[in-house]
Amino acid sequence: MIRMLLLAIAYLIPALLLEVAILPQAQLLLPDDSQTLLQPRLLALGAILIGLLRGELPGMLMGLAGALLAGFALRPDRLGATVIGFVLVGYLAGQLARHFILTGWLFRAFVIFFLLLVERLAFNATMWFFWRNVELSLPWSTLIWTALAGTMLYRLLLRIKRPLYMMEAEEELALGRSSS
Amino acid sequence: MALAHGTSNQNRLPLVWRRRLRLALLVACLLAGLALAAMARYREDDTYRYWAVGYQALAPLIEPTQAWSHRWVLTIGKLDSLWEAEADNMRLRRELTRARLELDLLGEQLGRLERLSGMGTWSAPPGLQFLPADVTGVLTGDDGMLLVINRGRADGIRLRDPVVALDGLVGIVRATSEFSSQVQAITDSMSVVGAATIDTRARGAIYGRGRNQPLEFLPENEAVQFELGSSLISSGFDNSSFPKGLTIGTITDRDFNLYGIPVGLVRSAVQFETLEEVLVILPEARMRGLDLPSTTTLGLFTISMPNTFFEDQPASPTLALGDEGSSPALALLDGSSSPPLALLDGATSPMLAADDATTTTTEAAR
Repeated sequence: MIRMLLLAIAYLIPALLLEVAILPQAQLLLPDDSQTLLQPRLLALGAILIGLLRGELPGMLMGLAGALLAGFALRPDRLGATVIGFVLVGYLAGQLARHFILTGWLFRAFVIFFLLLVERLAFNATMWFFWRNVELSLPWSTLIWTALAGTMLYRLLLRIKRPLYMMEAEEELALGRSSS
Repeated sequence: MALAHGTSNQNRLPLVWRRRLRLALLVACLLAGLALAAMARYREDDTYRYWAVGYQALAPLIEPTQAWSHRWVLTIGKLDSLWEAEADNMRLRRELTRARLELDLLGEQLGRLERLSGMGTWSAPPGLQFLPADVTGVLTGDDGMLLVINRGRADGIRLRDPVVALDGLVGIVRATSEFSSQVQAITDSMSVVGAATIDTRARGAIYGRGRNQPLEFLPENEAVQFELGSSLISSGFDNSSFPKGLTIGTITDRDFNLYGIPVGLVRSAVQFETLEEVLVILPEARMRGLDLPSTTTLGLFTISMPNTFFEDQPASPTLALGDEGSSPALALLDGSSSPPLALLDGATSPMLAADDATTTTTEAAR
């Protein structure tokens, strides 16, 4: 539990600084049509990765923490929509990890991309529901390269943490032994 | 294995309750998110007040990072500008080098054009034709000088064709190949040219004396005095290889030859060391396909030089030809007994005036 907490903090703070403070400044170096490349969804990616590794509850908590950080660091009107999007994908990531064994980088990249897309859709839907005049376009290139980065991060995290299906199998095995 | 992770199965909630707990937390979070969004939408002031509290907590972390990254971005931007300036600098240097090279080439072409334009306005009399040629080499020895030109038999050049430059007589063709020729300069010790002074019409012969030596003017009549500073032109006898009127040089001193005969030392009008373009004088009929030699007829022609060689000479005209009223160029004939010589008087453009004079004096010669 403590290791998980430390891992979450170690991820959230650099991700927050990168997403909120550093990369928006670095966008000034790029031409206008390429600036969306430096708007990654790193905090949402954290919720997805933890959800894929540890299940719905850690994923949702990570998403909630990331959403609060992002919401308080950016604009107040986005806080609610961010919470909805991040918590939702954290939960969905845990559900996917229970039903699928994520093997192969392409499948992992697709799953992460799908969850990032869901997060954007949930965020846009919430914003549209309350404000109507919001930009509903999706940053496809940003989602793709964030998904690829998430795939590599997931592979690194697998060296530290066992995936969810292995933990469940161990639990089942332990339950079976104790009952017998 | 599970115990090794510190989890006790007895303390864990049943699976169903765990699912319900997760769903409940999800619903709670979603409702909280909706509540936050609704609050931001409909109670903006309160939202900003609460949001400011959260931002104040994050600001010590975010704002220094923003400032730091902004400085780095500005630095990188400056480096990028320097890089672009360096690229511009290199491009401009290349363009400058290219422009300088083009300027040198243009200057060279301009100089050549100026020289050729002087030659171009110097037209040959009827029956003769000027063939421009470039001097491509010089063969020098103690006895004289041979110039190599880039015209040969394919261009109609034959042995003994005279060669002139804008300043005066250069020499005569001594050897030809298909596409080049060798011209014996008048300074060569084997060169002899029939000549006459402009002012006293004293005739004689000019001998070459070798490289870096003045020419030698030997008068036909030893008793005839010639003055220092007199200008010499080719005399153009019937059997001469040179047309009449070609400027040869100026008498600069008196001397005696090996036989004790008084001679004049002549400075050539042509600067052979800087000669780049010449004109080969050809019979016009040869250009039409008739292979005529040069020697039989050229002495009958008179050619007026386009330079201002005679301007300082005190001329006493005895006969004027041409329209005095309309043309600034006036062809004057000096000396009724000698072959006609074209002089320029009051011509604003000596080249054009020479053209007029050439035509006029040639007609007079005929």
